[in-house]
Amino acid sequence: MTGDGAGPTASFLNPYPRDYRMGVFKFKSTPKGGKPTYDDLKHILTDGIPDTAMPSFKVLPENEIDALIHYVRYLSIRGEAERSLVFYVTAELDPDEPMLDLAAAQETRAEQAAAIRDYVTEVVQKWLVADSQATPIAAPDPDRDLAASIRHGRDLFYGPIANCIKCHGESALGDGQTTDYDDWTKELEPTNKEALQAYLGLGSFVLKPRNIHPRDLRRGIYRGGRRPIDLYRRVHNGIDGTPMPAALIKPDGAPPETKGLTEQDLWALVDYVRSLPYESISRPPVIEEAYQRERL
Amino acid sequence: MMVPVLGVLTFVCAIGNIWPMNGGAFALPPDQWLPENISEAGGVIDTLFMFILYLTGAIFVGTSGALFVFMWKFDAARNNEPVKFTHGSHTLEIVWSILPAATLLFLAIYQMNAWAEAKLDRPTEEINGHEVPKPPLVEVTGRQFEWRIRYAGHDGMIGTPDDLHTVNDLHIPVNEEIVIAIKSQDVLHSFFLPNLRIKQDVVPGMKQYVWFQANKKGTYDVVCAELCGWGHYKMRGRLTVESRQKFDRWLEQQFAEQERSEFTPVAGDEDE
Repeated sequence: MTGDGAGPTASFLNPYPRDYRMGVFKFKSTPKGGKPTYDDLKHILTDGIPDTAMPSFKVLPENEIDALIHYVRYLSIRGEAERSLVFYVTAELDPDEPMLDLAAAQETRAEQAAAIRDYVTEVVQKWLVADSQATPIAAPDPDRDLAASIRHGRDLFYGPIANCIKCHGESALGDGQTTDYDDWTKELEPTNKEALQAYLGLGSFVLKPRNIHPRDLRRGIYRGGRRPIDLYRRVHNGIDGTPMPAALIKPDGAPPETKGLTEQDLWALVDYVRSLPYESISRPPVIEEAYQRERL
Repeated sequence: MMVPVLGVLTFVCAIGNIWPMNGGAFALPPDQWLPENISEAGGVIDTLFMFILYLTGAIFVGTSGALFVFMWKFDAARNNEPVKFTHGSHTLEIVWSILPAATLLFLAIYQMNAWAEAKLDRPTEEINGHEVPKPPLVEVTGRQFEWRIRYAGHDGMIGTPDDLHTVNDLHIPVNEEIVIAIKSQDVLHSFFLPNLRIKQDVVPGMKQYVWFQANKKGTYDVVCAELCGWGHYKMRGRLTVESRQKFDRWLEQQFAEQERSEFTPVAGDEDE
């Protein structure tokens, strides 16, 4: 109910539902640190997130989806504002100093209320500018040699600049490393046994930490969406809240020694990733006719 | 006695859309009876259902009536005749074995065609002079708790890059024979199209096909009919039956969106 991602079913789900209170969202069109736009939230609601328990709400009427988007934003704003106030209180105030002293003079109360309002406004402001922060994406040349682009993408995938294999593994199965955590889990200090025990002792609403696994790219399942622009966004902006980094962009026209990836490089990577599920080793083996069990 | 009377009344009112099954004051919502049938093969299924319902209904009314007549007529408070014993009637025993057996036999033969049409006779088409099973238009995968749908695309094959992926949104062209491949990604579900009288459990590891011909345009339900977990109740999709042109256009539009490679941020606020 508070948007903390720890509802009654949460502990049975893998991955856990999103905790809105940090104000961090994974699948959006804005860079890391930015809020999702209205359309980003709408996309998640209508298409769901494949491979997770997040369903598609496409059959809901438009006005209900609109209401849900606003309510998700409200929960996130409320959660993030409450968190920042909690940090303010623990960091700035004495243990018995109230944040809003109702017994104090009118002027003091007004000052305190203004300070609280500032914290909330700061959070809301980030949402208001989200729509304008979306990353513009220029389409690749539709007449490009796709096979060459895929080859170039593969070189970049295994190369030192993008270094995708570090996490996604040399086979792109997502087994490059599996010991990292996402930002929501890191708050529970999972590597510090004592601290973790203390957190878990707070109640069942604290979910047991799980490692975050890099995506198996050979399955053809893309949680943030399967459109080219969705994959481009994942590579260009990274995935907020996770170890997936934003790409270091080399602007067009920069000297060749500059480190980074150009837009063409990013599209080559996207082309390569999109081709992975159709490689022969990604497909299940073909079973001989005689051993097939197929009804009719 | 109220139980059989009310029971029969419930059915009669539901079928006839009579109060209290017609949405009037202090009433239940209307359309309590069977969902609208838009399938070519659905009519015979409904006929079989109604036949069995009337037959068993008549027997039910008859036996309940007989029960209460006897309870009334031979009530000890009213009736002091001594009990009569009988050694049974051979004729009666034969009659009430033969008649139900004949009825059941009639039903069994009558339904053979309907069953075969729905479950056994997979549509075929002719390719290069050979009669081959008609390839499916779409593959529906049941998963907790949604229907993941994958259209074959222009190459007619499911599993290639030109496939269209949607979730819970199934579009079908009207007045065409459609074959759907159904499977499950995790546990048992049941692919149920109420208005097409199609219901088939999707079993993990088992590849199956359903087929039908829809004869009316409109929006209908896709529901899950096999308990699959906590979200089973909301595993609902939308079936849209439309003309072939509209269907093709929808496929093109959706695929273009799926292949979208360009994005321009919209200036200003999307909402009020």
